[in-house]
Amino acid sequence: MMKNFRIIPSLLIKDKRLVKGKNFKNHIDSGDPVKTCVAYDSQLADEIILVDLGAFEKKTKPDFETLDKVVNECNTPLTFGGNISNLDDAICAIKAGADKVLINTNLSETLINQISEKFGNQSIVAGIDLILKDDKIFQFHNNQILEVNLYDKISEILKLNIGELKITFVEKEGTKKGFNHNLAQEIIKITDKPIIFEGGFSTLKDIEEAFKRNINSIALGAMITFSDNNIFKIKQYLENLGYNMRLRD
Amino acid sequence: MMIGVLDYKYCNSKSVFETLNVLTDDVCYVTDAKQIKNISKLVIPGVGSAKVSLDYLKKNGFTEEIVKFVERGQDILGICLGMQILFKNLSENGISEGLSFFESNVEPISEVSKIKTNIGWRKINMEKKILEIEDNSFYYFCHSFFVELKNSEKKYGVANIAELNKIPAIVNKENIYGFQFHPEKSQKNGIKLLQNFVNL
Repeated sequence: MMKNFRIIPSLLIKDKRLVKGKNFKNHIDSGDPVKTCVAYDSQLADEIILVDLGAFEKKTKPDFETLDKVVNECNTPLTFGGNISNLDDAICAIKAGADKVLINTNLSETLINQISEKFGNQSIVAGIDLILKDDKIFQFHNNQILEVNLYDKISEILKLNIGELKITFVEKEGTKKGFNHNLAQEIIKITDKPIIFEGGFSTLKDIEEAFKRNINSIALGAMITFSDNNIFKIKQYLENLGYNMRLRD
Repeated sequence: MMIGVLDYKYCNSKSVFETLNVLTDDVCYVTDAKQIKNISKLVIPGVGSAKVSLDYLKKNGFTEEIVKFVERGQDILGICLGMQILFKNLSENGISEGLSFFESNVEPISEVSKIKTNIGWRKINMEKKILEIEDNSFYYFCHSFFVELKNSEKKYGVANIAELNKIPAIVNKENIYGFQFHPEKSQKNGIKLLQNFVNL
């Protein structure tokens, strides 16, 4: 089967603005959500992930209004998250034009089944945030850090009625210190669903290495936010190396 | 001319509506079955699940109106789940009976692929030319089920995903069109395709 590569801008919103931080902290303003998404749309981003960080921090309703505005201006597939805590929130997100909802903090079998019954499992992305420290793996969940068995944790989530997973390496997030290819490679061995990886991608070589190791779907934050890189340039680089990228409409 | 975008409650009708709204002034949401006789083209969007959607359509009188609409020879376009419900039996959350414009059934992707969901951009291979779609162009897919065309209905498969066991990407039978992908989320290619459907 031919590989289907996805390069996905991963954006955080807070008070209707985009923000970007490091290791999930110290967020600074990084632009207007609508204008930024329109730019990624024209750079042929394969999807966009939009997460309302403000809603997660303050435990409020996610910002469906901004989502609605983004959808009106671009025709790029969109995953929306940030404190989606019940079926109603998922309905609002999809009604506002999201294709998928990202469920992380509130990941429960009950909620997943409710959403999947209404919108199908392909509409749900399960998010999991991992920290690798001294060869141990921890899950960062709802502001708590718990040691987990990687295989058990991933297997448990894969059993849910979800379409795919998004895994973020927290200790790398926003640092541009390089992606953890080895850990990602361990994870893809045990999955029968697509996985989007995020956290630490910093150079074109870093992405090339991921593709080489069958890590096909990657989400980028810092690498495209505070740098000269853009999605089209990244894709062009990979195309030149022989990867079959979507470079034209 | 008026194009109706069917809003069957648990679906993403908004993205389809907004995309069409840029292309033509003559587009409206269809929220009541009675509206169907007043429109000239009907689009059934996706992002939903088979059982809930079909139950909703049956309970609210949409099914009969859609059948009459198709029998009048008017153009109908189903997108993703919207395409799948045009088929006979759908096996998501138990078996549901579809609108049965085709004899073939809808089955899980896991039958033909080791990855259970097809998410992302795929090149499609055109077997026939319709709607001025270019061969080998990219469209966005997001689905866990696919239309398994019976031999007698293979002729309705207009395009397939070559790299995914040739599962159907586009079906067409007279005035009935179905896209497994999301034109409303396929950037310029998708917009062009919807424009061509508007121009039919």
